[in-house]
Amino acid sequence: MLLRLWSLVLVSALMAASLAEAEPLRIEITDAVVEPLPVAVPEFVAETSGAGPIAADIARVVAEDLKGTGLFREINQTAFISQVSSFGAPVQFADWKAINAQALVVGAVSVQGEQITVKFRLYDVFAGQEMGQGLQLSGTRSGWRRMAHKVADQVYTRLTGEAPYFDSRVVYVSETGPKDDRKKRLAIMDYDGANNQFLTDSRSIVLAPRFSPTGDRVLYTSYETGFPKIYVLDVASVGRRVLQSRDGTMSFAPRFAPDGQRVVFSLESGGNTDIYLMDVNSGAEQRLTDAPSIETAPSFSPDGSQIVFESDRSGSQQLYIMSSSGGDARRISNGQGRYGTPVWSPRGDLIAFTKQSKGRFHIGIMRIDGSGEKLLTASFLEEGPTWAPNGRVVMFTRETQGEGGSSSLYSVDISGRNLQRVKTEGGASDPSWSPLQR
Amino acid sequence: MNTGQSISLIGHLGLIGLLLFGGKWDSDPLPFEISDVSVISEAEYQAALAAARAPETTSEVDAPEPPLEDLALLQPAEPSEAQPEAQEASEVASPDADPAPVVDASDPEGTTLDESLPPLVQPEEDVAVLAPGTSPRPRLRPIERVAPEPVDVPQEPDAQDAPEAQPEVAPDATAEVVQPETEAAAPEEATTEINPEAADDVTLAPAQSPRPRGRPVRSADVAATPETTTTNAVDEALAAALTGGADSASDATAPSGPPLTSGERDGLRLAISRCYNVGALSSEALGVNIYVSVEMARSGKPVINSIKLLRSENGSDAAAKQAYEAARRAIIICGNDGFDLPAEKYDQWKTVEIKFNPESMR
Repeated sequence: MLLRLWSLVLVSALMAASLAEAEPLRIEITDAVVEPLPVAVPEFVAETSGAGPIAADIARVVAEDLKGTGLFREINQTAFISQVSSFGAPVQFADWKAINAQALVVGAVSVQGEQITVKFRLYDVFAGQEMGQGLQLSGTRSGWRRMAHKVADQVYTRLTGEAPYFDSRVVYVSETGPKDDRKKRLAIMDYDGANNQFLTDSRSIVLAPRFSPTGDRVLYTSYETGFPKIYVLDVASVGRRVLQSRDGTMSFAPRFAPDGQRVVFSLESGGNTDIYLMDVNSGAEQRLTDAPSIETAPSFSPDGSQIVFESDRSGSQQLYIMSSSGGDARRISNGQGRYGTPVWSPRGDLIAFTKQSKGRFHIGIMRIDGSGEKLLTASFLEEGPTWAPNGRVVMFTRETQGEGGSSSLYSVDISGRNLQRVKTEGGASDPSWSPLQR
Repeated sequence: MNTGQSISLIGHLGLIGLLLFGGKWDSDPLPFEISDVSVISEAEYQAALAAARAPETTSEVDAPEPPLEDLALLQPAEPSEAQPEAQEASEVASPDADPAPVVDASDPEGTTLDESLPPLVQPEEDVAVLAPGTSPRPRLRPIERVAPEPVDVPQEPDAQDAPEAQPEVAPDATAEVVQPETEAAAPEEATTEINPEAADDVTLAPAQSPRPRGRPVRSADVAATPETTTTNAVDEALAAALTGGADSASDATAPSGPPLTSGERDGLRLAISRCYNVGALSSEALGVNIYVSVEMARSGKPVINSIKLLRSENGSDAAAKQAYEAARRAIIICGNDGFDLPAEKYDQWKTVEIKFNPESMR
């Protein structure tokens, strides 16, 4: 009898299991929307007396960083239903959900002397849970902006999956004065234009500054001697020295190799311009191209194995890739127009370039095999792209038309969205984005 | 007896009654009422009677009804084809034209004989006109052969080929037997209107319907023990479950109830895609396809804790996680007030598996 009862139970279980295996409704979503993600960044909690202003400033920088990407929309604090008065207090998700905040950044700042500590948590409001773990940073009072950028980088990475880039700097050529008497000097600033500092004076023309892979040095071209020569500048001490070069030649368009020990550059000799590789310490040169045409603007691949450069060997200015040791090059640009100033992406998958076509200039990107060319911008004159450390954003120079025209820095997402002008003190050109600071 | 039969019976009885006694309601005798009544002699009566009998023989022509004046007026109006008859009539009638008034005068006599003859004679004539007893009623329609054309085309050649083949087969006797069979088949094909009914009867026959089985014959000993019936029920149920009876299996894999229409599916798809924000996704995450499962409440709201990532394609785990977070937010946000889904089809959308493939955004 008991066996039969168990049998009945088994039958019931089998039938229940079979019913539970009902086929789900299957649908496919192929469309989506591209909108900034609403993010709430309430003022950070000041956990010590006197930390209030810094807490507010840090929260403001975090919000500006996120907003500046174009991927996020900051919810106005006046719309907040609940306030964050304690870092450890439970989050009232319903209040944040009510204002459609999809992410919430809660932080706190404590100050002890010159030492400040920042901690934060990121919440997925609609999921009602924390995204990742809370993080705590410590630093000096003077470095509060960097700490804010670090916090923003963490939030950005957790929300997008992209590598961070806020805690980075840009070296560029600062321009002042009228167009016919323009003063140029090197300047360095945070990626958002803050903490601007000049690295050189304006007595001589400077061009094309380029960061070293570690961000501690800058290569640039100066006409200090009347001829263009390459200098290397230590960012911390602002000390500089000229790289060895042969007399009667012009050296320009330098760029560090990924190892930071070699420099690839263009050298004009006897009316011909070719690409050379130089050891920074020893000054030993290696000629990489040997053609009667003009080869210039070399840029290493992230792994250091290849170099992309521009050449007019085909009769028009086009992009080529060759081994880092020289040799045959293959053309990768195939569209109509002239291509120049190629820069290899830190990710290694894309090359940014300047394109001149039908009287207009463009900043574009293409895959390393030349496919997938996409023009991100268009204007009267723009050139000199440089990659953000994460390879998601490109910064470049745009010059306005006319006698009163001036140069400015702009950034754009590689999707072509979120074109923004970068804040600089006066005119600016020829930017170079540093790697992420350490 | 049903209503239809009752109505039919009443109708037929009424019709028979009309045939038998219809003369009572006939309006034709009215002209007799306006005829003059006069006293005549026997000789005149006989003469008039003789004149009155003549038209009886020609009653089929309906001559008595119109007066002579009317006939005279009608003669010129008759068509030319009828003129010979009219001429003959005029020729014949012309000598009778004089007694014609007598004939007219005889009508009143008829009135005097109302109770004896006229009712029997005149109604018969009327019945002959109105009732179809002697009229050429339509014959029964021959069975319409709808099939001849389609049947003849393909089968005539076969029928023609058969005689040629028969001598080759050899036995003549059998061949002769076969031919009548083919001829007999023709009328059957011509009456295919009836055959479909027979065919329907065959197809609709409940021979294969799942009738309840007959009770097993109980033996006296077995019938007394209830345990055996329990055993049978358990065994049968267990066997059915283990063998996975076709009915139960099919019911388990497919949700019951009508499926969602394409419009309802599109509505759900549109509702989710409207909240699927890929603007903050990394380029790698944008290239990932993910499959997400979610359980739905009857209210159309997603059960948040049930949302899970089933699998992903074309990307790293980190990228899939980012894409999943965006998909999860889309489901939660746009399902906050419940998706617009038909409640009566809840079994169809109780569990939803969604493939997020933002190919148009790449």
